[in-house]
Amino acid sequence: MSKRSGGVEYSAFNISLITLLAIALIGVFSLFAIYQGFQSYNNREMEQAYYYMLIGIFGFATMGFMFFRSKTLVKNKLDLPKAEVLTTIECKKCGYKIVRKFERGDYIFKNDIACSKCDGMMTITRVHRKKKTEKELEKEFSNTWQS
Amino acid sequence: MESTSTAVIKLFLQVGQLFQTDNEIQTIIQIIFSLSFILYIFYAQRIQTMTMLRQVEGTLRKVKALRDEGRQVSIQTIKEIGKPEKDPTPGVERFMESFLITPTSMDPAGIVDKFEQLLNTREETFEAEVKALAPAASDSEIDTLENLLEAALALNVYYKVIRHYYLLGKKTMNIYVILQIHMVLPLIMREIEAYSAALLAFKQGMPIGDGVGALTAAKLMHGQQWRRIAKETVAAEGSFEGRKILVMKAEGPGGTVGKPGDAIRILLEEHKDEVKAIIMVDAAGKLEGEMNGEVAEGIGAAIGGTGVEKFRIEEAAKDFNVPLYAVAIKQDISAVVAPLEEELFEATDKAVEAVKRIVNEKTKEGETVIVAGIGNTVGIAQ
Repeated sequence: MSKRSGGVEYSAFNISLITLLAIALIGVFSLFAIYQGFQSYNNREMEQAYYYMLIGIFGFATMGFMFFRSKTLVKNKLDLPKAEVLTTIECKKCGYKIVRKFERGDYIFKNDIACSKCDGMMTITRVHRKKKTEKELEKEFSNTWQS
Repeated sequence: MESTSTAVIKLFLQVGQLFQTDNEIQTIIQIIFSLSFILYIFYAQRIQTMTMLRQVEGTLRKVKALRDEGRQVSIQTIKEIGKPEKDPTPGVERFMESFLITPTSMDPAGIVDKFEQLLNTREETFEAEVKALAPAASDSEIDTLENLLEAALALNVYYKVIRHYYLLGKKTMNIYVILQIHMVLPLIMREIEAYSAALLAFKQGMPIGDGVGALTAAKLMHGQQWRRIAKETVAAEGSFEGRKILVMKAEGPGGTVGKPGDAIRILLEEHKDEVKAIIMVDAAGKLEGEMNGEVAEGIGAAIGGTGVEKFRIEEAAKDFNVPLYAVAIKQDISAVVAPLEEELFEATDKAVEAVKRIVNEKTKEGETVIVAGIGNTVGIAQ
């Protein structure tokens, strides 16, 4: 369950062996506690049944926490940002304007693009990311505020 | 005298008496409860150390993935643009492991010249290596590829430093070793995320947040005749309300910052006593709570980096007794090397207005002003 990378060994991208063993152990004990709980309930020992059930449920909750925490780490392993970049091209002669997605080779003030409406040449006047929405800005602010 | 642990045990046993032990299960729970506290007394620091190690490990995994992505993107882009005959992978790996030894500061006299010489050698070596890796790339593409490889190199350094502290902490299980990296991790992660955004920008040759200074200058010099005055640096002459405006910026659209220090000195030497003000426009880090794209004005040389160019500009301004004015376009660290945001693009219009106002307020008709647009000009021509 471990991966060798760059000559250094550390836990794999999924749950480590120790965590897995711990989860399994807690699972066995929790199941046993629940079983004991039912036994006590059948014997009309309500107080004991209540404690056994509590231990069992607590054990399963711990298992869930350990499992999903490891899952979150796996999910966070690659988070390359994505950005929608737009290019605005304008013809100075006829005023024709195009806004399209950025393509490799675009740059601000590039002026060798033929206009499709007249015989003039078009110039790239703007290259930038799309403006953030209110929601994104709000999220950014709340993240900053929390940190 | 009772030891602390005995006292604590007694305390918990007394607390435990609050619970009635009518049956065996309650007794077991009470023992577990008491034991867990006793264990915590002796192992609290170890548990905390292990928790921190786990958090560092999670971050390390993420950084490793980003470092690998940086390496992969670099190789792929070199193959696409440079059309190399050989596999560029060993060359990229060698580049990612390269380093610079800064000059000693025990005797600081002349350190700027020494540092500049080292930086020039580094720049020339990088350029030659990228040219060899990507023979079909144009000059501006080579500049941008160099930037891409530098972003990959930075991610590699971050990864190796975090890994160093993680492994050292694991080896020694010393909380203070792990604490050092754990404390600064959120701040380091912001820088790492910024560099990962740079991969996208440099891969495609998009303008970046740091280019706002160059873009402001480009807007002022667009449509005018420009000439190369220093290495990868251009200047154009224009006029505004009776003043002569000398605008300079790095030569775009390749990814370079040029040599603004040399360029300003050359312009001052050419125009000697005519120049009455130098206005520098650059991107500046914003504080939390400030708006992205806020434009602020101040005094001094608005330029970051190693400090060599700043020193050269301040020296030139002092030699010719010309005041330095600064226009800063505020932005978050995550925006500096990421594709240019619309707010920042629009802020350059405000910066142009600020420059014009400073020209009007600080100089008279017939005088000359130098406007220096500082920053990486990737994706921005002139």
